[in-house]
Amino acid sequence: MSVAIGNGTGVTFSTRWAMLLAMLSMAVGTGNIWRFPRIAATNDGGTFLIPWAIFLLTWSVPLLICEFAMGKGTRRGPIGAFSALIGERFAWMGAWVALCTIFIMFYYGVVTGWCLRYFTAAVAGELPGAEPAALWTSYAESGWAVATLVLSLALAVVAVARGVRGIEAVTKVLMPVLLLLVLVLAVRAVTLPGAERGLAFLFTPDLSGLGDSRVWLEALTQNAWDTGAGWGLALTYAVYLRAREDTTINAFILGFGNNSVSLLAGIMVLCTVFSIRPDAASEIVGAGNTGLTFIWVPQLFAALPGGQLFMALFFLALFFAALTSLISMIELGVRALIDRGWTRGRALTLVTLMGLVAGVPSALSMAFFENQDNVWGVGLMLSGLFFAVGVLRYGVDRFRERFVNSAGSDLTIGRWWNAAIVLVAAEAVALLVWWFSQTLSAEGWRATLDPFRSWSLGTFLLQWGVLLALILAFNRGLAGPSRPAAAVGPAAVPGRPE
Amino acid sequence: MSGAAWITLVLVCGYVWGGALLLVTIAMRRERAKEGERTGPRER
Repeated sequence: MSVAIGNGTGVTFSTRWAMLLAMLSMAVGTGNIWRFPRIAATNDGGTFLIPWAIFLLTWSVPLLICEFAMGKGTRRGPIGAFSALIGERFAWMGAWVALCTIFIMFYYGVVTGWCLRYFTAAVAGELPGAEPAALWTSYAESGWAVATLVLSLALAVVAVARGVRGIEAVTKVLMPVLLLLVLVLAVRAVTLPGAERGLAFLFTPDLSGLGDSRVWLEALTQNAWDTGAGWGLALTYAVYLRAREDTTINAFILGFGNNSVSLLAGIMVLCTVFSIRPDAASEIVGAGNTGLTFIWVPQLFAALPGGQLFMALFFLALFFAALTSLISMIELGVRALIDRGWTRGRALTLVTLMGLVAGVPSALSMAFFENQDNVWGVGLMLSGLFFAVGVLRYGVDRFRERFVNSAGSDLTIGRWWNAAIVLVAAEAVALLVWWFSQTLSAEGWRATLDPFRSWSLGTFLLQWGVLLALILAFNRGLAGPSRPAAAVGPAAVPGRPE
Repeated sequence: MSGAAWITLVLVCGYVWGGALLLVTIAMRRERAKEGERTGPRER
């Protein structure tokens, strides 16, 4: 039975396990299955795993604890949560978090569509075809990519339309199936002849490589990407936590559970690559996300006995991972509008239409897609920074005692978390400064300030600048009107600085 | 596979997968305890 807790509907996740499956389905996406193996492989495998394991505890988990606590404590989406926590003057910080993720949603619907198309192609026996890249060349940037975008959005809308219980019903089925698929594919990969070469590549460390700052940068961005920490998505689902639900252990389970799937995906992909094409391993892992997944993976599976079945399972897993993450991104947008008094139906209609219209350019142009992927992917560093700044402004001790170590918490966290939040802020700033300086020294002022390139300081600063200017200009409008105080759980967040 | 690779494999997989399993086990026990508090001691 649900309890009335003031999230606007009174509906919560029915059980802790249903909530954890939904959270995990939000975090596990294509970043785990196609990005992690590629990034690990291009950063010396075992060397990369050391900072990746460290950043799980010094970036992902502290931020996830923060998101769980803010969502549960304020019962509002990112914009309302920042307003309630540190005042309406700072609503723009929540707006940055929300809009950054919504801009990612615009092109993530396209990615979901790609996965769906490749699943159907694998089932129909169209892959890999006489020319390995033929399907990709004819499909990407065509009207068919728009059609699969529409279909993906429609499927996600069916889940979100029913609210948290609809999301729960879908993720309770898709997430266990996804975990099973990844497990089956990983077991299949490690039992291939020559698979130990892939394991050796993934797990052999070169400690001298730890002096390379790029390895640390990649490990941090991978953690930011695939755990969903700092996106505002865990915060959005935490709005629907039961009143006496735990915060800390659930956040730990989400971080460790998500990275467990990444590790399985890394083993699955690299063992397959090194077993079937050890001669072309560096070319395969260097082919980029889409090159590895949509051009090389079909060729690799085609070389296996029963390859068509495993290929279909791989793309089905990828589609489920993408779809469940897309659902959470749409829910974030819907939640932000519900906080402003909209009905779920109206909010969902607007967010879906926006996703469709703004997704079409990414479906039709890979250059546009890559630009948006770069700009808003790196923008997540700022989102993580804003979460840390929000907690620091509220007071870390007060936040910890009132929101994290609250009723129902299974584990009381100590002062280490204060240091962890300061570290998150320092990591985000250091990373952005380092990245800016590297870009400048590699390309020079003139090239890197060109705003019309897919990857340049100019395009980042222009798009971030426009968004920041808009949300700062309309900050007063962002903050209100919101739901009446009586319907917002802890009506006035205690101890908020004025 | 070299000895260093085996050690890294055991440490990383133990940390990530072992950590996840341990945390789920703790959560299951806590959940069972909370359920017991809600329903009270059962009569035989």
